[in-house]
Amino acid sequence: MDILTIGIESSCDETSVAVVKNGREVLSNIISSQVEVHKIYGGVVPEIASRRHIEVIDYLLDEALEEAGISLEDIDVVGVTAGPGLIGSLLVGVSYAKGLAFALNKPLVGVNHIAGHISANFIEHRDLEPPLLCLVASGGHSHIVGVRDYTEFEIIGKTTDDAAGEAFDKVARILGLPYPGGPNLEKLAMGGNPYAYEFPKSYPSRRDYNFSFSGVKTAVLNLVNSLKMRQEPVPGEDIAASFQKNVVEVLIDKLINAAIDFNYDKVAIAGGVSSNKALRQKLKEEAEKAGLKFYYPAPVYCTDNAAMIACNAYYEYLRGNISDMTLNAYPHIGLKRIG
Amino acid sequence: MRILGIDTSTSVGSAAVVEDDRILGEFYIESNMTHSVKFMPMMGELLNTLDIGMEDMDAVAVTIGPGSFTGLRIGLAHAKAICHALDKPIVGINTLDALAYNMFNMRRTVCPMLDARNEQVYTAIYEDGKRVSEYMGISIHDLIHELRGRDVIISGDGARRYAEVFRDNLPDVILAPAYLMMPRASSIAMLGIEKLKAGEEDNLYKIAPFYMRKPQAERLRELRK
Ligand SMILES: [Zn+2]
Repeated sequence: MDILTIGIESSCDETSVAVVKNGREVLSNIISSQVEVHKIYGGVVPEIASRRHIEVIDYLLDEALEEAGISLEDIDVVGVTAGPGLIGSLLVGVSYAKGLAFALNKPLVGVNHIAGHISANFIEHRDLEPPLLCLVASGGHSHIVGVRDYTEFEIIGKTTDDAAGEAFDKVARILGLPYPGGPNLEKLAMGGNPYAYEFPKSYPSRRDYNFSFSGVKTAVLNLVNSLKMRQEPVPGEDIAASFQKNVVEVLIDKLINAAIDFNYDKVAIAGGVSSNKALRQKLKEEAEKAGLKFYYPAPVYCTDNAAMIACNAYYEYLRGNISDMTLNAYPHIGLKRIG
Repeated sequence: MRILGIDTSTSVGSAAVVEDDRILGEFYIESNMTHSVKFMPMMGELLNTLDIGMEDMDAVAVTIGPGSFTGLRIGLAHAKAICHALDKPIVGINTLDALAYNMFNMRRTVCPMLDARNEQVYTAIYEDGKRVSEYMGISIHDLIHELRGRDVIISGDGARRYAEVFRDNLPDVILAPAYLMMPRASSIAMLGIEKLKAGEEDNLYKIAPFYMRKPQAERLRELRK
C-alpha cells in the first residue's frame, strides 16, 4: 500500500509544503522564498521570517495538495522540520503540523533539518541506498556525515568556526555583493581566475576531518583592505574565484579522505552550498580518481524544501519514530534525532 | 453552536469548548513550560474528557493579538491547521476585547493591558462593555495620565507587572482578581459565537496576528530613512 507523506519546512526563510509518495516519489514540492523580503536588510530577519511563514502556509498547503492531485484525508503521515533552525520560524511549521496531525488523526514525525538535507539525495536518486558519506554544506552547517541508514547518522567532521555557506556570505559582503551572498559570489567567481590568489588553506588538523573557514575569510578581508588602502582596484572576480577554489578544495579533500578512511564507496553532497557548480565539478573529478561513486541532488533539492523533509519523515515513520503532541522546536539540536 | 476557544497570547494558555451560552469545559494553565510543548496535549485532554471530537465543533475562535508574537503564532497556527484540515470556520478575537469581556457590564471603566516591554503596554479603554478608544501601544505613564479621574479596573499581564505604579498614581484603581486577570479561552469562544452570529467569520487565508508593532528591524530601517 502506498504511503503519502506531507512535509512542512519553515526553519529559515523558505516556507515549503510537499507531498511525497513512499518516501521517494515527489508528487509536489511547493517553495515560497522570502529572499526578496530580506534582501533590503542584507540578511534574514527572524521576526520578519516568522511573520511570513504564517501568512503563506495555508496557500502552500492547498497548492501542494492540488499539484499532487490528492486531498488532505489521503495523507498518511505528517512530517515537519523541528530543528535546527530559527526558533520562531520553526515554531510556525511545528505548530501548524501538530494542528494538522491532530485534526486528521494521523501520525506526526518531527524531522531533523540536516537529516532532511541528506535525504534530498534519496529523492534525486531513487535507487541510492545507505551506507554513504555525505557532505552537508549550507549557510548554517558544514558536516561530513556517515549515513549508515536512512535514519542513522554519525558526524565524522565539522567546521570549527564558520559554516561553508556562512564564509561565502561573509566574503560576498567583503566584496560588496548584495544578499544572498553565496549565489552572488558564485556568479562573480565564474568570470575570475581561480589561480590569481593563493589564500592559506586552513585545516585545523591534518589528522581529523574538521574544517575551518575563518582563516581564508580573514585573508580575503586583509587583501581587500590593503588594496583599498593603496587605492588599487579590487579584482572582485579573481578574489571570488580564488576564494571559492580554496573552500571547495578543503571540503573535497576532507570528504575524500574520510570516505577512504571509513570505507565508504559512495559520497554525496547536500545543502545550499552543494548547488555550487565549482564544487560539483571538482568533486566529480576527485571522486572518480578515488574510485568513489558521487551523488548530488538537483538545485531545487539543495535549498530548503519540504520534499526532503517528507522523505526523512517517511523513513522515521517506518522505523516507528513517531512524535507526540509535545513536539517542540529545537533550534540548536545539531544532527541528533528529534525526540 | 459549539465552538473551540484557543488562547496562547500571553504566559497563560487556555482551551475551552463553549456551546451557545454554556462553557462545557475549560483548561487553563500558567507554567514555565512553553505553549509549543503544553498547549496541544492540554487541548487534546480537554476534548477527551468531554468526549468531543474536533469534527463535532462548529468553529474555532482564537486570539490574534496583541500579545507575545511567538505565542500568537503558535495558537493561530494550531487553529488554522485544524480549520484547514476539517474545513471549519475560523474567527479571530482581539486579546484586549477578550480581557474586557471578562469584566462585562462592570460599572467602571475597564482597561485591559498587555505588557509590551520597556514600560509600554498594548491597551484599549472600555465603557459599558464597549471599546471607547483605539487599540494603543502606549507608555504606562501616558496611560496613567489618560485614566486619571476615572473609576477604573485594570487587567492583563501589563496590569499585573505594573500594579505598583498604577496603585501609586491612581488611588482609586482596582486590580482585576486573579480569575479575571488573564485571557480565558471561554471568553474568546463566547466572543467567537457573537462574531459568527454577526456574520464576521474570518478568512482562513487572510487571518493574521494583530501584532500592533512592526518588527524591530523594520522600525529601525524606517527611522534611518
Ligand atoms: Zn537548510
